[in-house]
Amino acid sequence: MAEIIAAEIPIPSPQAKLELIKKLLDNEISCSELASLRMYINEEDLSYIIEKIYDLNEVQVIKFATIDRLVSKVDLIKNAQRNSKFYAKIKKGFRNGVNKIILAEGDSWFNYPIILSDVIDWVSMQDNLAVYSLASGGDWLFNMLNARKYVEEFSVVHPDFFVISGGGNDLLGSNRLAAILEPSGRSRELSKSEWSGQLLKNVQLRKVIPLDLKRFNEGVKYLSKDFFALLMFFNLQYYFLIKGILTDGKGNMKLGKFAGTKIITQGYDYAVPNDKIAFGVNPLRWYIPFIRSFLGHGSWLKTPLLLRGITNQSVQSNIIYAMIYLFNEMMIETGEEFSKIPGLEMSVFHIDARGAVGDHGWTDELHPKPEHFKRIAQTFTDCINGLPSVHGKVYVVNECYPRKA
Amino acid sequence: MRRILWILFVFTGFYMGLQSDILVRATPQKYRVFQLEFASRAQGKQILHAWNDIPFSGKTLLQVAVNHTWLNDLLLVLFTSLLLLYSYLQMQHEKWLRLNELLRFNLLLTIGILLLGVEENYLLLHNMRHVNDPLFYLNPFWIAIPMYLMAGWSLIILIISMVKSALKI
Repeated sequence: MAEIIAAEIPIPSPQAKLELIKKLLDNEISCSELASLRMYINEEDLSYIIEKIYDLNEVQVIKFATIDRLVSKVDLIKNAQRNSKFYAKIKKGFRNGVNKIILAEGDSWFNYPIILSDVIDWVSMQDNLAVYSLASGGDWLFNMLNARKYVEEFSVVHPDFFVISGGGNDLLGSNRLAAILEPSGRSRELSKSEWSGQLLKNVQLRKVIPLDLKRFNEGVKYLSKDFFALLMFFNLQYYFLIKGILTDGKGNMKLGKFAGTKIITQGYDYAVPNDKIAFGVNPLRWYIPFIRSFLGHGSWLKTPLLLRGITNQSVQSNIIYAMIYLFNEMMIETGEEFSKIPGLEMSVFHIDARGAVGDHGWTDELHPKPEHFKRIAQTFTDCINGLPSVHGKVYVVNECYPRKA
Repeated sequence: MRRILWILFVFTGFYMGLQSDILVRATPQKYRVFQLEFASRAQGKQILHAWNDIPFSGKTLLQVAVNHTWLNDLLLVLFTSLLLLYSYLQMQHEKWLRLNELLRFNLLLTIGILLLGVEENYLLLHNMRHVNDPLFYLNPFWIAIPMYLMAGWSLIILIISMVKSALKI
């Protein structure tokens, strides 16, 4: 295995690291400073950052990040069924060098309680794929990193692929969206953020998903410095997680035990703030008003936006557009960081679902209808099966499986 | 969980079969509770009176029908639980989007079957309790029909999906 030394980036002292974290929280950190912080961040630093972003102490963060007990029980049951199916495949000699073993960790896009067929449900249906799932609806990326369940399972399952879906609940759970908005619409934080500026420059170079400048500009001026701090925080978290899997986890970036594992991330789609129940005439869509009535519809996006006095529907949608656009670019950028490391050039992939669901394709504010989950899952499957993408390591759902009008 | 449900379902069904057998053998017209569900008002009263007129085990055959109907509630719960469980599990295997949606629809239909079934049993018990009050007969026909249609449809969808999975289509 190649030995990689990150010689260019000096190890910051604890005081220097704290200064960098403060700069991140103020959205005043430069790209090179962020790179330095990223290289040497640890779990305590990540905990500290999220406490500061949300103005909470550690106990409160853990409390907010804890999944509702009932949802947790249902998630466990669903995972038990999936993992039973996983072992049934294994017992039939599934591991033969051709079939693929997948370890899944994530939120409700990977484990939606009972009613919907989510991404992992559709992926698991493929005969050549066996999925071991740790996903829990409502889970925070912060939780996933803290609990480190995926670490234990890596050694047992030895997956060919690790798929992860996280960040949505960190961003939107428990009315958190209200905490990262600038309701005056006069935020200039984007121009302050060197790193976000770099992300947007890379959009022009990569040309993966074209940027709707009008929508973006209207939305981004409502995003506070806390959003940009959170965005960089996600970058740190994902980097920390992936580094821990693919390398020895230390600053020298030596290839680790699981360097052969491919990692696939996803970045959600432009959700639509909405609190309408939407009773319809199609009996097959009975679950939409049911889910909307009982499972939090309106509480993730619409209510927090209204809480901050942002009432215009178009502005609300554009805020989410700007957030998700940047979130996906952050994910792509994070993956690109690893492609610079010899031996890891083709290790981190991204499923880009931007624009895949459309305004009318949502079961509720955050979850696509089953047919769109299926399209996203098919894109995951293509990536896993090694089908090429015109964008290299980024697979665009709308290009692979265009949405029907 | 599935095993427990199946065991209870089979035992309950078997016992109800024995009760039904008693009702059939003991009445000259060989009436079953199942016939009561689809009988007209006149026919329904006739069946109830026939059972009420035949002594059995210190009471009348009508008591057997009453016990049978109570057990039917349990059978209904077990049947709908199994249907719900299998529809849900099959949904996790069904790649065809339309069938996947129909299996999801089964989840709703199952609740409908349970509610209609309980309501139907309630009407049957009401009629049995008021066998000597001819004005108080409530015909369960219009509840039984949609209930059986929903149950039949759900089972067909489930079976199609399971066969499709087994044949790896």
